[in-house]
Amino acid sequence: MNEAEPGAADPVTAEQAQVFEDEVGDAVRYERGLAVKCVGCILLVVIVLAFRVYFFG
Amino acid sequence: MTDFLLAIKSLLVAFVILGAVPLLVANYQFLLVGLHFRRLHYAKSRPYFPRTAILIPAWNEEAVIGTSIDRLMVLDYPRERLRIYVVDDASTDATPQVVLAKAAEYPGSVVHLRRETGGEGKAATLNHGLAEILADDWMQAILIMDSDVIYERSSLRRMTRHLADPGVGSVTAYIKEGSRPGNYMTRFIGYEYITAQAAARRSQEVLGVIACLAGGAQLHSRANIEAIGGRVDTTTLAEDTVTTFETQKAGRRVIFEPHATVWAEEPGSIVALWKQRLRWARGNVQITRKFKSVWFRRQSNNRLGSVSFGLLWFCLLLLPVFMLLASGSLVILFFVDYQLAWTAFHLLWLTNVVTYIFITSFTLTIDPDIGRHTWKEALMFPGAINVLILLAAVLPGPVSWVGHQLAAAAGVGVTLGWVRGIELFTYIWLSACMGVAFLGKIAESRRFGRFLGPLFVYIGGYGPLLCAITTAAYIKELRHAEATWDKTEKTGKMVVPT
Repeated sequence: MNEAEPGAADPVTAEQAQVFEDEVGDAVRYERGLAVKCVGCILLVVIVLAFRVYFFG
Repeated sequence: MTDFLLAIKSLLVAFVILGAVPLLVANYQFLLVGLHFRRLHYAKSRPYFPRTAILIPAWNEEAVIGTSIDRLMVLDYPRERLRIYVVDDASTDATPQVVLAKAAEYPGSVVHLRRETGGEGKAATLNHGLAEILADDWMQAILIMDSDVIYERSSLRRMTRHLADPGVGSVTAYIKEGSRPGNYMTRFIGYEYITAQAAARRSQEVLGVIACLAGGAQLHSRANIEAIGGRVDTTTLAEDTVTTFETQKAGRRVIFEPHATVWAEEPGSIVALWKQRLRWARGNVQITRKFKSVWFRRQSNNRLGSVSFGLLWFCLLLLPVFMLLASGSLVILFFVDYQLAWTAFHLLWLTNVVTYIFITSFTLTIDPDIGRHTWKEALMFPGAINVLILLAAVLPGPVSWVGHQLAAAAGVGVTLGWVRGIELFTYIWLSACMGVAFLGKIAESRRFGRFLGPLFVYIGGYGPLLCAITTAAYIKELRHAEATWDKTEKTGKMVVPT
C-alpha cells in the first residue's frame, strides 16, 4: 500500500498528532455549543410568542 | 354554486398555507444544525497529508492570483506534498506573467498550464487541468479552488484529515465573505453565507447528504475523481453540484468541514450579484432536470433521494412560486371572503415571525465574528416593509398606535377604507417585494443609482432579491436562453485574518 493512501500508517509527528487532538476537541466543543445556542433561540421564540399571546391575544 | 365557491376558497387557503411550507422546512433545517454534533466525522479521521494537487482555473486574474499562490505556499501543510496547477484560460492580462514569476519563486511547487483558446467556461478549464494532473500518478488528492479565494493556514490539513477514511470522496470548507470594509451588498452576502454554508451544510450533513461542494473549496480523493470519470460536467452551469451529486451517487460520502475556513471576495453590486446568482440559479434548475431520477426515490448507497433532502432542495428552488401563490391567493380571498383571508394571513405570518426570530438569532450566533459585522443586514434580510409587517404581527397594538399617530400628524383620518387598503397592500407585498428588489438592479446603473440601488434592496429585501433572481432563472431556462459563463470580477480587495 502506498505510504500516504488512506488507512496507511503515515508518519505523523507528535506535534501534528497533538494539533489534531486539540483542533478536534475544540471543534467538538463548538458543535455541542451550537446545540445549546439552538435551544436558546427556540426559547427566544417561545418568549416572543408568549408575550404576543399574553398582551395582544 | 356554493360548493364550487367553497372549493375555490379551500384551494386558495391551501395555497396560502403552502406558502408556509418553505418556512417550516427552513426551521426544520436550522433545528438540524443543533444536532450536527451527533454526526461529526472526526472519529474516522486522523492527521493525514496526501500529495495534493491544487487546481486553479484562471482567466484574467492578475489582481488576485499572485496573492492566492503566496497564501497557499504558507499553508500549514508539508510543502513537498503540495503542487499548484494554474490553468490559464487564454488570459489577456498579465496573469501568465504573474504565474510564471510565482513558478520561479516556488520551483517545483507552481505549474503554469496555458490554454491558447479559451472562453469555454470554468468546467472546460478545469478539465484541461484534470487531464494533466491525472496523467501523472503523483497526485493523491486534488483541491479545486477559485483564483481569488484565500485559505486560512490550517484549512487544508483540516480538510485532508477526512480523506483518511476511504469512504469519503470529497470534503468542502466554510467559505466566508472577506471584503473589508466592504459595503451593504458584501455584508448581506456575508450573512447569507452563514445561513447557506455554515448552517445549511451542517444540516445537510445531519441528513447524510450534501447538496453542493463550495466551488472554491472542493477537495477530492484521487479515487473519487477517477470514479466520476476524471472530469467535471460541462453540460450545466453548476459543475460543482454535479460533481457533488455524482460523488454521492457513487456511494462516497461528502464531508463539510466547518472549521476549515476559506475567504472569498463576493460581488459588491446588485448587477454583479445578479450575474453570479443567475448562473447559480440556472445551474440548480439544470441539476433538478439532470437528476430527475433521484428526487424522492430511495437509493441504496446514498441519501440524495430522501424526503428531507428533496424538501430542502425544492423549497428553495420553488420559493418564488410559493410566494406568488400565497400572495395571489390572499388577494383573491380578500375580495371573496375578507375574514378568511385575514385568518389565513395570520397563520402565514405567525410562521413568518417564528422563522424570522429563530433563524436570524441562531444564524448570528453560529458565526459570531461575521454576525457582529453583518447584524444590521441580518435584521433587514426580508426587507424593511416585511420587517414592519413582522413587527405588526408581534406588536399589533403599538404598531397600530404609531400608525394612527403618524396619520394624525400628517392630517390624514384613518378610515376603514385605509385599514382595508393597508391589509390588501400587505397581501400584495408578499410577492411585490421581489419586484421592488429587482428595481434596485435597474436603478443601480442609472442616475442616483448608488443611492437608489441599495434603497430598493433594503426596502424590498435581500431575500426577495434572491427570489427575483431565481424567477429570472426559470424564465431563462424556459426560453432556453444561451448559458454562458459570466465570470464574477475580482479586485483583490480582501482582508483576511492572518
